[in-house]
Amino acid sequence: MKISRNREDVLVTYSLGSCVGLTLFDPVAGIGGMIHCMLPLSKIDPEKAKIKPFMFVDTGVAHMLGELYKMGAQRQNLIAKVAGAGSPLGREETFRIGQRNYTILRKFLWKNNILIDKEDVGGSRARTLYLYMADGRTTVKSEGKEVEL
Amino acid sequence: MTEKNKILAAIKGVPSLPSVVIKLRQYLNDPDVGFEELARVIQVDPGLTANILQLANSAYFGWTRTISSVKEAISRLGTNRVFQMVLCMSVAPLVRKPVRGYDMDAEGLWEHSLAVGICAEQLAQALKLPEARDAFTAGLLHDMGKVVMGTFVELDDQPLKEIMESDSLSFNEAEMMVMGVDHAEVAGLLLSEWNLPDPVVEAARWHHEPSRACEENRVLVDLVHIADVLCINVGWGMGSDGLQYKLDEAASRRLGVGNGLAEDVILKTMVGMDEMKDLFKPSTEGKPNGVQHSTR
Repeated sequence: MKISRNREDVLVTYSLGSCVGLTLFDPVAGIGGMIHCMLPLSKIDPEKAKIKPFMFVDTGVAHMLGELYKMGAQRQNLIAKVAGAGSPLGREETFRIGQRNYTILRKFLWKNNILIDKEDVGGSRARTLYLYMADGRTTVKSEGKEVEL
Repeated sequence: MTEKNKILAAIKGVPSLPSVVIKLRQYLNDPDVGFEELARVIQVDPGLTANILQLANSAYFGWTRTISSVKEAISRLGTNRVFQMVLCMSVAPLVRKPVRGYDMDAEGLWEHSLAVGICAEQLAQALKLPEARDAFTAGLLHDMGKVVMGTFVELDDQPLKEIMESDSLSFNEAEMMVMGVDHAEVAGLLLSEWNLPDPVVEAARWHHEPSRACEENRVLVDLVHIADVLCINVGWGMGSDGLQYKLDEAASRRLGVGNGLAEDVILKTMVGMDEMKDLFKPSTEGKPNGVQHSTR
């Protein structure tokens, strides 16, 4: 997880497969953050979640919001964008990790009164997610192409 | 020479696995062989000895007393752990370089190979399978075919990318279509050239099509297949092939792996990865420069 208020920063996370990447940006305060979560719920290993809360969607996003508010971001200004939550080719019913990551993230944000503004989720593409702190622009790079969210 | 023949010829050009690895593996399966003999096999190689001692004394393990003999290192780390390290050290020079045809940086394939090795072993242990013994080896080496195709052959991946974009083919199907051979078949041939045991060879050969493996080696093949799918899913060492692979649902049914166990094993793999990556200190080269922060 990274939080920044430096206009020159570009936050980035690579290799989003079934993991979800979330960017939150407050254009008024100029504060933004990015997180990359691997698994939906921390209850499978609460001890691990204490050491590495950002691995899980529930504990990770809670921490991220806490940090953003501490720095002065306001909930009503936050713009949320999501990428990742992919799955391998074909009828993927055995492992639903990507889908579960997305569902839990959406639910968690909704409970915190944050709606997802834009997203690029699902499918079988690997993604890299960027957040440009200069203007809050969020892009997804996949198969060599960078597209704005 | 056709693309396929070029690739098959390149297998002969890959350096062989150091004999210490083969010998250690045989010794590990022999209950009569003690630490003393195992240590003797390693000590023949001064570079390896130095590395094992360095790892055993690494701050990671938190011991205060410095050890100076391989025998002590084996009793401190355990025989299986020492074997895994020797294996990693032996293949690292081959795997830890950019794999051009697959758009992977120097750490990409290494990270993926380590992850699948750890994940296959964790899965086997969780399912209490005797195949746990070979699971790390089979997982670590399953993608060696990519090393041959991506670094020993000047592979042109453009036709592959075009086919994958236009059809919903998996990456290995596209390889087969364009080159007449896929990285799994190449891996099988290389590991057989290296004189590795049949189950390990089969696991590499059929890691994308486990149901085609022969019955007696099926469990190890299934383990590596599922571990590979999970690690690709999570994004450990992803290249241009992305998530373009298919899960063989028959394999997950045969092993009895559902989503709950999968998440649990991913978590354990993550812990194992932190440990191994710390020990093998990956370089950070290969990532784009600039004012960037990676969140992983």
